[in-house]
Amino acid sequence: MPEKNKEVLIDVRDLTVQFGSRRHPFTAVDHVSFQIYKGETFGLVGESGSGKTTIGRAIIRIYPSSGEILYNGQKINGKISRQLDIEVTRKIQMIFQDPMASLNERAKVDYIVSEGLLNLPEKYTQAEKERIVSEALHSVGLLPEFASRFPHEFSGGQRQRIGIARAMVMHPEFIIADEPISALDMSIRAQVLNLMAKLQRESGLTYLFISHDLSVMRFICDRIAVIHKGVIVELAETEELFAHPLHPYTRALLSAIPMPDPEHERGKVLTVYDPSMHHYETDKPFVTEILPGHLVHGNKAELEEYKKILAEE
Amino acid sequence: MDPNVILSTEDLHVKFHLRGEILHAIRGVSLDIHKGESLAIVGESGSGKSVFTKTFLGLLDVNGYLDGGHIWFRMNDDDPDDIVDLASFQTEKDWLRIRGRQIAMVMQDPMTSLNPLNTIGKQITETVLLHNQVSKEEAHKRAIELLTDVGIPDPERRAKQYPHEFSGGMRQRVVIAIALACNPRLLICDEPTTALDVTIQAQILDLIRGLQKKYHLTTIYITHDLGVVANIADRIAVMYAGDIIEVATCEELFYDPRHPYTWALLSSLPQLGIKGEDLYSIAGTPPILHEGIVGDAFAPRNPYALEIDYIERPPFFEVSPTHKARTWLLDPRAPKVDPPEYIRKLAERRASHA
Repeated sequence: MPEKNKEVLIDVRDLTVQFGSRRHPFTAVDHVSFQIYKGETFGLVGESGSGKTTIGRAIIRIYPSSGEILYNGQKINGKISRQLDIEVTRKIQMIFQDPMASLNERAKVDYIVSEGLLNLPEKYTQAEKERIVSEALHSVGLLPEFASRFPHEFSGGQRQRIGIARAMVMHPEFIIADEPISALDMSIRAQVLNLMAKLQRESGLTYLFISHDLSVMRFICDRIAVIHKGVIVELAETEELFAHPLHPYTRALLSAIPMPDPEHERGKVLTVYDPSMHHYETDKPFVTEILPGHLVHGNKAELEEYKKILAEE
Repeated sequence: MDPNVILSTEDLHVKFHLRGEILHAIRGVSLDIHKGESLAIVGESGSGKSVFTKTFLGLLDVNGYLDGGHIWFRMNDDDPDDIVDLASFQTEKDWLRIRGRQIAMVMQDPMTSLNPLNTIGKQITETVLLHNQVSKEEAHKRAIELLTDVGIPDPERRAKQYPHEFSGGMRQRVVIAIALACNPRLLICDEPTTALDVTIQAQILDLIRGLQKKYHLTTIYITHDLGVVANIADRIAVMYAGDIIEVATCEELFYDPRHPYTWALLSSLPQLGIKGEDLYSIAGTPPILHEGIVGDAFAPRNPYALEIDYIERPPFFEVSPTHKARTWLLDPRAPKVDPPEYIRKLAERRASHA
């Protein structure tokens, strides 16, 4: 569990990402701030279109953003020096959702895995490259001889392992995993989650885990931020979030988790979130730390309500 | 055929020609589907769950063919003798009697199963007109009625819109409306919620359950996620490597599963995992279905495998009148094996509810 004095690895301040033309801007991420501590798994949960993937892509600098993204205290968005650019390329890596779509069908595994090294100033000899690739494959539980095969020769789970090896080859510090298991079968999901946990133990990785599925996140995340329409509505340690969900959207998400338990499911009451329940016209909402480490978005009236709920429990 | 059974497969075999080899995708499946029930078929990709139900509609890919077995289907609830063997159908004309008006299907991805160039109103009326002798006005009225039924607000206006103007959940509702357009008796939902968000998934499942009552439907859900079916299924069939290995009521399957593969599937659910510990994961990969599986297909990945599992295919052993499983562990001669910890915990949790 992360504590207050934990070292901050990623510090996102007032991050805003806009798409569209200047005349018709669409704000996908709206003044979002959060911190990710070293060595933790930070979850970002929300439905499609909430901006969770956009945040991940802004951090890895695929999308331009305003606000500040600090990595180890250094600003990495906007214009940065060449040297910092190389360092960030090396230290921040990404795992994608669909292993069927994220691997180059026409390249062999050794090229797919080692491609990231080409972006680095160091030049590797063929022998060094082979060694690095086979180490990376070994670390994700694949055989070194797979290096000479094409992606179509692998199953979904193996492909996702190749995707993870491609990230690991850079020896990253921070990995953004965007729905890494959503496209996988149940039994393969468990294998990939276990692999991610193993790599975290061995290499002290920090993860940003992006998903729409809270049941998986409860299992692997230390802290979870709930995002709705580009705004983080609640952020807390995992068990705290499950024990005291405050924002109505968090409650709706929790109520929708399917449980493998017929009797529980039959008694289940679905909570539907209706954003028009908020009255933000005069009483503007803001983010408050309602309990230590538990942040919630709301206006004054709502916060009073949330405090009452907490006092009752 | 039992009068309560609407569709019954008997020793069904499906094979595919694939790169010069023959793939045995369905290996002798016998299953009864009862009138009015909701049956879930659970299995991983490649287990044959989709192929199995596609045979009910004659929708196998061109390289696939039935290789023995029967699919008995009751065409009419009032006439006990009006039963056809879908496995004997040869022509498209035969199938047109079945598709849409008897058996309809909801596909997985609502983003790709609608025509982007037509308004959704047109796509629904088109289906209504194709299968019923009605005027255009009546068909339009029926389309609006269907849109209301599947919970789309302001249906008159929405019917004039194109698929891209709908969200994923709303599109899936439209797809369901089209499937219901001809009053089918059997509705097959192939991973209806896999492409959707969790909150939307719960709403769609609620909707299907409601429609099932309203239209007296029999439904088959195909899914790989055991977590979802607890909500909707009366009965569950678990498929592995082209075979059904366990069939039971929903309660029996979750609280008293018997097949080691079902144990493994349940144990690997993250909902039941303990933080900081590894999730249970099934070792190895599913077998390759090019002919020649000897014994129990799950044996190489099964920590409880017995010697006989590698020699002879287990028959179905009956646990209760509604529960049977294909595993030698249920043979009276087999050593007694306790189910894994996760399974016992689930059963205990049930006790704590009661």
